[in-house]
Parts: sequence; structure tokens; C-alpha cells
Amino acid sequence: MGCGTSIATEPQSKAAGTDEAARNPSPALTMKAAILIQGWYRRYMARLEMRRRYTWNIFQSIEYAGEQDQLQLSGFFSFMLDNFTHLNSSGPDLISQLLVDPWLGRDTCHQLIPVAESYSGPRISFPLSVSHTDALLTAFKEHQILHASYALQLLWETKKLLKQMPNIVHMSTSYAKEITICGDLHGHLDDLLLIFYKNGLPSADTPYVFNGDFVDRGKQSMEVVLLLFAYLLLYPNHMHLNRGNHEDHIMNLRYGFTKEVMQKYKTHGRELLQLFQDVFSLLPVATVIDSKVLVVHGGISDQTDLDFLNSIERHKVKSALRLPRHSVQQLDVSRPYKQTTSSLRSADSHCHRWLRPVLLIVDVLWSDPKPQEGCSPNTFRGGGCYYGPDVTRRLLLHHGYQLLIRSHECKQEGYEICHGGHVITIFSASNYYEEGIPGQQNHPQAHPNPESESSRRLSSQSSPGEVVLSPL
Amino acid sequence: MRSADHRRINDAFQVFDHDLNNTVDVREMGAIVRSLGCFPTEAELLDIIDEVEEPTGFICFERFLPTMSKILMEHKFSPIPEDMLLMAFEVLDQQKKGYLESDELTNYMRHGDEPFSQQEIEEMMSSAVGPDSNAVHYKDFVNKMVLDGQT
Repeated sequence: MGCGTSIATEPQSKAAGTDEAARNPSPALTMKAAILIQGWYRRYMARLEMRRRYTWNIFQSIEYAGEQDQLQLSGFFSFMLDNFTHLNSSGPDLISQLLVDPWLGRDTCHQLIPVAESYSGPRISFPLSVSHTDALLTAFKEHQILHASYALQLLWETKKLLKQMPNIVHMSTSYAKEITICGDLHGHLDDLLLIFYKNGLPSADTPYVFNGDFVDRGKQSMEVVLLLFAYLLLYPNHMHLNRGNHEDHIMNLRYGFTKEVMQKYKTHGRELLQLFQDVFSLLPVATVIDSKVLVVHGGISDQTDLDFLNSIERHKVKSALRLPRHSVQQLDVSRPYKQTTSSLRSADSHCHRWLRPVLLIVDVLWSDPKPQEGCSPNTFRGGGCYYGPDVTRRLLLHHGYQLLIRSHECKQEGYEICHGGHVITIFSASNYYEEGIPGQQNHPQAHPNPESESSRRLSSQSSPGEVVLSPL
Repeated sequence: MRSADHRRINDAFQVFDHDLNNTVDVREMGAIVRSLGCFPTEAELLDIIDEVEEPTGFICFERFLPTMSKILMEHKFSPIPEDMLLMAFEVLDQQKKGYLESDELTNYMRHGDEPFSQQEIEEMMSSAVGPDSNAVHYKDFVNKMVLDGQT
């Protein structure tokens, strides 16, 4: 047995012995005592870790189970809207207006809302300069709200800029050597500020890729997304935003962004939300770095064809949860509300040309990696796929890429590597159910290095950690 | 054969058998073993895994059951009783001060076949050292850890 019993017998002889012996235990006894304490301490830490992981699994199940219901509920909701909204002939209602897919009326410039003299928040004008973004940073740190007029203008300019971008954006490390990639932020302004503090503000020397899910869940989604868009306008070639599954107005209805905007902006909230709908759908869906690293929010599927993906009209896919109207009529209407994107995939979908682009985007935004080979519908989320290492390998090989970086799943350490080192998940929001899961960012560096080693530094419990990839 | 033990092992296993095919992912081993009241260190856990892991990276119940039963029967990896722990600290406290200097404890923790890493030492000191710095009042320390560790 272990050293436990020897300790038990030794003290008895110690007690029987003299004071001398008690004062000077033998080296052997000392060693045994030290080892016992070591063993106990390690076991204690292992137990703590297990408890943390249990809590973590429970948190994840609760957190993501909601999304699964969401997709199924939305399918039903869509069916109802499509088939019943016109029964009442007095015209479209507010909900239809919010959800039906009009591009109309928002291509013309909105009327500028006047800003009162008494407004004490930050003021911006276009084109943006560093002083404007600095003003926004300072103001948001002090919990000020950007006036609706400025917010609308900012969104408007962002929309114009994004329209010119392709679906898949290419970046290179030839100038800046290091690109910082950040995962889900989910409205955690503190984490964004900490990232900027640790890495530097976005600039030509400090390029960033933010990999989706800027909004929902956290209480400062508005501030986070406004800052990201402001830097995008300031440095359009060095600041890149990928769309996440939460850049979706139907997700926002449930997960808090819509509520936050309405609370902070009241009368102008609706106009802002409609613009957000357009801007979100215009966000690129993927970024490629040095033609070697693919960065997307969720992942891929065995149907993912990046060339085709680059060619579709991404802005038409407003939401993963609401298919374009004409599409539902073409489907089997006997039980349409049960058709989530998962079941649509298994239907005879290649016949429907309109469906393929939607599924492609949903796959990229919603899929999760799995350890087993193959590709199966993602029943946990209700949309997208589970993709195995073979799917990853095939896609990377096809394009000559080496690495897939994605987010979408909260990881306890802030990051996780899988698929034999070909997939890295990074997540940058700290967890608000526990005390600060470190978030992560990730810097692929340009210069090659023989050994592949990733080192991790955690400065304190509640600050985002860093993953530095030495070679690619 | 102790059927009560077998049932417990089976139940614990089932929780992590997501595909219902009597296999679990090797990464769940720690949780399963610990949920059965055994608390191996990471190194000891890796030894257990070595014994039962299939080449596919999964663990099947047929191999897991005998190994785990043996562990339970031998009461391996049980938590160390508090009084024994205290005695161990008292052995190290050669001058019978009632506390250890943090340097003293650090030095001891570097003993043995598996000395503490720098990170482990820092972690331990951060919870062991009292507010008057540099002294580890081990009685309080043990009390605190025992209370914390109780699920």
C-alpha cells in the first residue's frame, strides 16, 4: 500500500521514543511526510478540476440547448408567418415587417436625426479618424450611449463598406507579421477592452480578425459591435470581421441583443435593428490568411465548396432560422414546421437552387468539429454539421490550407486544438456564470519555424490568455 | 465478486456512454474514476488509461470493469484522512513552531520522485500562505482544504 501506513506506524514509535527523536525525525520519515503531502495536494487539485468540468458541462448543456430549440421553434414560426399573415387583409403587421426579408426602402440614405446640444456623449463624423474611435472607447468605458443619429450613420457607412467586400476575405502577414484572431465576444465589452489593452488597438501594425458572435448574452453588445464597426471603417484593410451565428436578427430576438437595443434606444431602436439586420447579413463569412489559414465562425461540412461559397449573394441569407419566403411554398407543406435545416439537408435538396447557398452559410456558421470521422447533421444545434477530421483534411488539402481556426464553442481554457492540430477553437468572452474563464486570442506569425509548438500564458484568472503559434 | 461495486461502476460508465454502445471517450476517464470516489493524480490516471484504452481512443466497458473493480476493492487512491495529513505536516515542522516558513515548505515539496513544478508550488503557496506572509499555518491550511474539497 502507499506511504500512508508507514506514517501511521512511525509516529507511534516516535511517541514511545525520547524528545530527541521527536525533535529530529529521520530523513526517511521526512521524505515520506513530504510525499504524502504532495500526493494529497495533487489529488485535491484533481478533484477541484473535475468539479469545475462538471459545472462546465452543465453550463454548456443549458446554454446551447436553447439554441437547438430556437432553430426548431423558428421553423414553426416561419411556417405560420408564411401561411397565415395574409389572412388579415389590413396589411402587414410589425412582426412581418421586422422579419420579412425586404431589402427595399433601406438602400436610400436615411434622414439625419438631429442631435440635441445637451447631448454629452461622443460625437463622430465621417470619414472616421482615430480621435473618433478614441472618443468612443472612452465614452463606452464610462457607460455612455452613442446617440442614435451617430449609431445609424455608423451602421450606414459600415453597410456601404461591407457591400464592396467579397464573401471570403484574404489577408496576409507580409506587412504586420502578426495577426490577432479573437473568438466570440458576446457583448462582453470588458474583454474587448482588455484585448485592446494587451495587444494594442487595431491599426496597420496590429491587424485583427474577430471571428463572429459579437452580440447577444452579454450586456454591452451594442458597444462591442459599434467599436468593431468603427475600427472596421477606420482600418478596412487591417480589421476583419467574420459573421457568426449570432449575427442574425432572429437569434438576437431571443438572446438579448434586440432587447438591449430597444432598451438603450427606444424610439430609434427599430430603425437600428433593421439596419443591423442588413449589416449582419453583409458581413463576410470567412477570412483566409496567407492562403494557409482558414478562419470561420463555426466550421465546415462535407458540402462546403469555398469557391461556390465565394460566389453566392450572402446578404440574401438574412437568418439561418428564416428561409426565404418563396422557398417554403416549394417544400412539402404538410409538415413544414418540423423542417429544420438539418432535415432539409437530408431532403432532396440539390433540386432546390435557392437552398444550397443557405445551407452552405448555415454550415459555416453553425457546425462543430467532432472526433470521429465523417459528417453528420448537428442535432445538438439543430443546424449545421458535426465534421470529422477527414472532412477537415479533405478541405484543407483541396485548397492547400494548413489550419482551420474557428470559434462558436465556449472552451474552458479559452481554446482547444483538435483534428490532429488542424483545427483550433478560440473563444474570447469570459464566462459570467463562473469567475472568469480566460478568453483567448491567437496570433499566427509569418516566419516559419521548424518545431510546431504552442505555448500558453495566463496572466491572471480573469484576463484573456494568449496563444502564440510559433510556426505555420 | 462484489455486485454493488459492479453496479456503481456500470452506472458511472453509463453517464458518459453517449452513443449507448458501452464505450466512453478516453477523456472522460478522469470524471468517471473520480465520481466513484477515487482520486488518483494525473499520472496515476494516465496509468489506468494505459491499461484499458483501445487503439481507437475509446474505452470499452469489458476492460474497464475488472480494472476499476480492483481499484475499488483495494481502496486505492482514497482521500487521505485529515489527521494523517496533519501528522505529516507536524513531522516536517521540526521546530514545532505550529507553522512552516514558506521556504521550508517549498523546499520539502521539491523532494521525492515527483517534485512539484514551479506552477504547483505557486498555486499551493497562494492558498497556503497566511496574510502575515511567509508562514504556512498548516492546521488552518488543512482545515480549509478539507472543507473546500467536500462536495
